Amino acid sequence: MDAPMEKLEMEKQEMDPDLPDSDVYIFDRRTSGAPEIKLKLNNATTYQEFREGIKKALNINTNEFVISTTSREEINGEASWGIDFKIRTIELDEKKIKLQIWDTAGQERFRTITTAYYRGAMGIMLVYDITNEKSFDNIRTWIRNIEEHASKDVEKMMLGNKCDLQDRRQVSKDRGEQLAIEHGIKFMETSAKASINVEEAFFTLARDIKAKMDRKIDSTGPSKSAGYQLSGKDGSSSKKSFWRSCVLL
Amino acid sequence: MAQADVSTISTTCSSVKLAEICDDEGTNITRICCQRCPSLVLSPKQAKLVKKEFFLPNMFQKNDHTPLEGVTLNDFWLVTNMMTFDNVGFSKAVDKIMYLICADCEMGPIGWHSVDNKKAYYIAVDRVKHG
Repeated sequence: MDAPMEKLEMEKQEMDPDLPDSDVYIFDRRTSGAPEIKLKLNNATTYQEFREGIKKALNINTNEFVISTTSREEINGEASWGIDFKIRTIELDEKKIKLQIWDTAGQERFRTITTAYYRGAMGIMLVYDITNEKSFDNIRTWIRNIEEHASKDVEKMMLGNKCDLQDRRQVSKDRGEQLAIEHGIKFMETSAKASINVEEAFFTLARDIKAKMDRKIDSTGPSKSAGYQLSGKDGSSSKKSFWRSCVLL
Repeated sequence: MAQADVSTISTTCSSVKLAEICDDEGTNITRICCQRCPSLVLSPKQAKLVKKEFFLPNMFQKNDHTPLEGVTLNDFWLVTNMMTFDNVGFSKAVDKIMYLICADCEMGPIGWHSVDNKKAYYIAVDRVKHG
């Protein structure tokens, strides 16, 4: 079941231990019980981003849901508790959505986590910080990692975040586009702070995943699909549920 | 529901009458919430009442520092899958124990989990609100 440890250890060594400002969200939908969305958040600016994204992705119009109380202070100020993760539940139209929220900056560790998790992912969002060259460099590592571990038909998208900070830009939009083209993935520049393209990005990825899901479901028989509630009823082998996994790096 | 059991069980659990919060099978009948804020930790019928001696550090909130003092508690709600929780926070493991806290106000520890047993998550009856 678990990822082979030796392999994970090896990966850790190849990778730069000092990965800055990358964000990981993991959406997961278990095959039984409530839909679950897992996310890892190690950059507080992306909380809003995720929140808006999830609203779009799940077609929610209300603001009355709580995803996380994690604030930048808690992350930077090393809250006494040293919180590893939280489990949160939001309820929409009588559907419970459970979220597992990782809010630490333990880079080494989260790589192990994501390696294990995104094997079942249906969508992966790679996010770098345009004011941070290194975060862009790391995207290649992530892509390699994804190609190795994630399923072949996973939807990928790359975001250059913090595009409001033009004066601190280190990575040109061109370079972002080039890298995206190289790997055949969609690309956008976003600003969580200025709410630029954030919803679009999530919506695009969500729509792509959903389209893929719908195609699969259409080809495997009838379903009463409503919104994202596309759970495969056939139990554990279900790879059909829309939000089974979406990983954001 | 044997009312007689309650007084003996409740030695460390002065505020809660166990018979009022669980059914005959020991399953919680009420919502289980944080004592300090309205955060829902567990929905009804999700946890089993168990006897288990465990030392939990005293409750504190986020910016206080870890107290060394604590108390041994006996009554816990047991959940076998962490995704059963509605809202809960997990601390980083300390000597293989992850402490559970309120996901909203971060008050805790309200329970614990041993990393060696992936099928057991305990919420202290005495540290949550029922109903």
